[in-house]
Amino acid sequence: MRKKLLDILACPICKGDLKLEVFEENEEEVISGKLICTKCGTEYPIEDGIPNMLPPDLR
Amino acid sequence: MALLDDKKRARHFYKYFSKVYDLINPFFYSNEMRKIVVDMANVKEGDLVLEVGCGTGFTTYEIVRRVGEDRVVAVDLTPEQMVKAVRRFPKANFLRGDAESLPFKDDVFDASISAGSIEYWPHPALGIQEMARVTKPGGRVVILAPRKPDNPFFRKIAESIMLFPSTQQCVAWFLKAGLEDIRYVETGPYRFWSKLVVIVSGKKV
Repeated sequence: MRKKLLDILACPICKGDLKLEVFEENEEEVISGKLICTKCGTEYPIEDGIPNMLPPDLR
Repeated sequence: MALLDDKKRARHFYKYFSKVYDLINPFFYSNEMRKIVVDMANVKEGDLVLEVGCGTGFTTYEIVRRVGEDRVVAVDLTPEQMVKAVRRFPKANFLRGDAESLPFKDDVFDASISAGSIEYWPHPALGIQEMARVTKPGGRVVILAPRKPDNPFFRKIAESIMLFPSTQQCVAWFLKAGLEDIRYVETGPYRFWSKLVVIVSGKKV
């Protein structure tokens, strides 16, 4: 996931803004980490560069 | 309930179906049809475009060709399908997400496209409403759906597999989502199967 994507991403449940936590990255993108909703607190994992933005009950 | 109108079941099905998907799909969805889909989205080079239900990337190919690889944001439920699309378009933006609760802010895309995905959404009206929400005013929402067969016998078979909305139903969903200037095309991959799908396009006000 490129960091620039954060500009348009929102929590799928409450549409709140997200905060990015990076575990691993290269010059181009975030390889692993998580996105945390600043409003409802739901966490979305980033694995192999792909954010999993599914609401928890659909994962 | 039809065979594939449940998200978990659809996901499970595609996990295995993805292995042969690219062999079977050309019988139902042609190069010409994906061109019409992207034509109806009215996009140009550099536009930011959302694709909902990218699967293995068949429609993604045409969107990438028009706007540029890094200008495409593609969402799918199943990682097994998406792996192929990610390999094809390494510079595009992929994420796992649900059509009915899209993970984007309001008014961010120049157009939103979904081809051959709505038949798996339990609440199609909600998915279209979400696509309208994330599209900028003046931008277009385009859906390709398998059309309800005219022949009652085939209609019965079709309905037992998954959702086949009628053209009228699709247009009604677009209106309900507040979209305007609605246009549609009924088309298919062969002359003898010329009304297999309906492609609907509406403009966000």
